[in-house]
Amino acid sequence: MTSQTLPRWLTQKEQFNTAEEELKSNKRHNFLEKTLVGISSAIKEAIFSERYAGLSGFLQRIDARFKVVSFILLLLAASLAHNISVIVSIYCLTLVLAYFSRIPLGFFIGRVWLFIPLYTGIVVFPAIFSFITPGKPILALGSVAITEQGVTSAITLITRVGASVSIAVLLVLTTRWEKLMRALHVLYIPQTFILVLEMTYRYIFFFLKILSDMHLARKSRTIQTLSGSENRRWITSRMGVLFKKSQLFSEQVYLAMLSRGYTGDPKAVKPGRARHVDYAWLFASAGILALVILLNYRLG
Amino acid sequence: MVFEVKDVVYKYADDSPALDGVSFRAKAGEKVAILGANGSGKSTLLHILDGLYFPVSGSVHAFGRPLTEESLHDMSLAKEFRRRVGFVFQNPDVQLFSSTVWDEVAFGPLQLGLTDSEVSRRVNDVLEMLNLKKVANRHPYNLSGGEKKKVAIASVLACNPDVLLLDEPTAGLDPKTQAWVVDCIVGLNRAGKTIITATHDLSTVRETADRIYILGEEHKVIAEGNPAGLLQDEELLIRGNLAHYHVHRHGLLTHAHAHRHLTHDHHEPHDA
Repeated sequence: MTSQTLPRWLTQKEQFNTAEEELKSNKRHNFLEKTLVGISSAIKEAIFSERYAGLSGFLQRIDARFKVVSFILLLLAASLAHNISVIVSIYCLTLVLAYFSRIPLGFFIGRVWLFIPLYTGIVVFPAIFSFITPGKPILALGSVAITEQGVTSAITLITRVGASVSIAVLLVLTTRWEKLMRALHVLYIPQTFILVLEMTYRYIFFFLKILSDMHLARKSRTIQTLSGSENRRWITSRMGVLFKKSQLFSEQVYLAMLSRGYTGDPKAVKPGRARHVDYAWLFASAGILALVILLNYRLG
Repeated sequence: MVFEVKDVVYKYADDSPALDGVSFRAKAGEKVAILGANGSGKSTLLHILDGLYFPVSGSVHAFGRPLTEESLHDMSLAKEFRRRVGFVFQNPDVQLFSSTVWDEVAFGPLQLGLTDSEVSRRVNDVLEMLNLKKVANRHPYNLSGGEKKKVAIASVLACNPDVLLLDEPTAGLDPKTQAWVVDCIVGLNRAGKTIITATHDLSTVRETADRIYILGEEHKVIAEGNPAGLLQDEELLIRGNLAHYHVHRHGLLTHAHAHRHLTHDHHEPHDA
């Protein structure tokens, strides 16, 4: 290409008068970017962070299949416990397990309590008042009172949620994602479903990166402030484009699977043999559940 | 004869032609390259050779047997074909769909019904051979472009195919990794594998091909033969959109000549 073939305006310097241009900060633009960056970091942190799963702590050494079953038993125990002392004991057990699995307790407590139990507390807050839970008033506020039964119910629910979330978070933090997926087979979840889950996990960040790149490409060519409706139109169009891309991409992935012998019935490597510690841990978890049921019966 | 393709026509969903009467042959142990510009139908031809696309007309034979959609319904035939032919896709992300590198390399042997111990042995051997042991437990997302390409090749080699189909194997790679891929291709061919490469990278063709086909923009074969001879034919390369006319000035004189990139560090000399 020579200078003679270029249009004239392309060979001339563009004239800008930046003093007269009104360059407002685009808060909606920043919102988009912050949302994308936030989602991408959260997913990356939640799914790809395997700092703790790779450590040689107590739970990391347990076979993933036995962990899945034993943690379901512990979740049952937390759900069935009526007495708050029992629920707190289960929660304390999760802290002990986190400690011996080399998970920093501050990080573990923050990961558990900063989200679901906090929102549970907000949701259950009205239940402490007499108009929701009548009972013995402990603090009168005009015609309404905070009742002992209301407070007890709220604390029991929040503690139960906290204990249950702790159990789930402990399972995820101490188990590599692909081992957790494979362990689902022990619950008779079909291998095809597990394969779909694994591939969803594999590609979700891939498409998020594409979306982030689309946003950056647009940002690099955006000079003036864009209206809310323009931004919404852009988001909608990107949803459509990403859907189309993922559809075409999935066809290519399927061809790649066919090319390597996939016939619709995925095969996986058989899990290794279980060890004594795996059985001991499973037995201990069953014992905890049995103890909770017994205590429920004894304590009422 | 490993592959015999005669007068194959393939059309896209919108009825535009991808291949228009293409014929192709590959013998066991050969290195064949399919050259052509973007959109000439190279990748489509590889997909047809791998039994992933099927032509609307023409015939395809693989290992002396017809390769059709119906023939691949026979599970034992399909299994044998998939074991004997490996396809390395242009975009490694398409091919790396498992959670970890180890799982990815194990996928093919598992689907072919090998025992767990044999699968483990092959995976470990291939990872060792391609120096990928240190990334065995990594997620594909965390790999560099060169590592992804190596894992893609490893995932196909674990099935021990007789034929390797490679779609733009050096595309998007840094020079060091490109050189590694070329060495890998040559080494695998010396070990007896038939190599069929689709590319528009002329700089690597002399090493990776004993014979070349050139597809033109009309989606037909416009030339077939020895790389040394065909790559000297400037008019042919321009017709196939594999070279361009370069125009420059010497004082008041304008000089135009065909310009093709054969190596990375020099251009062919010309007279002023």
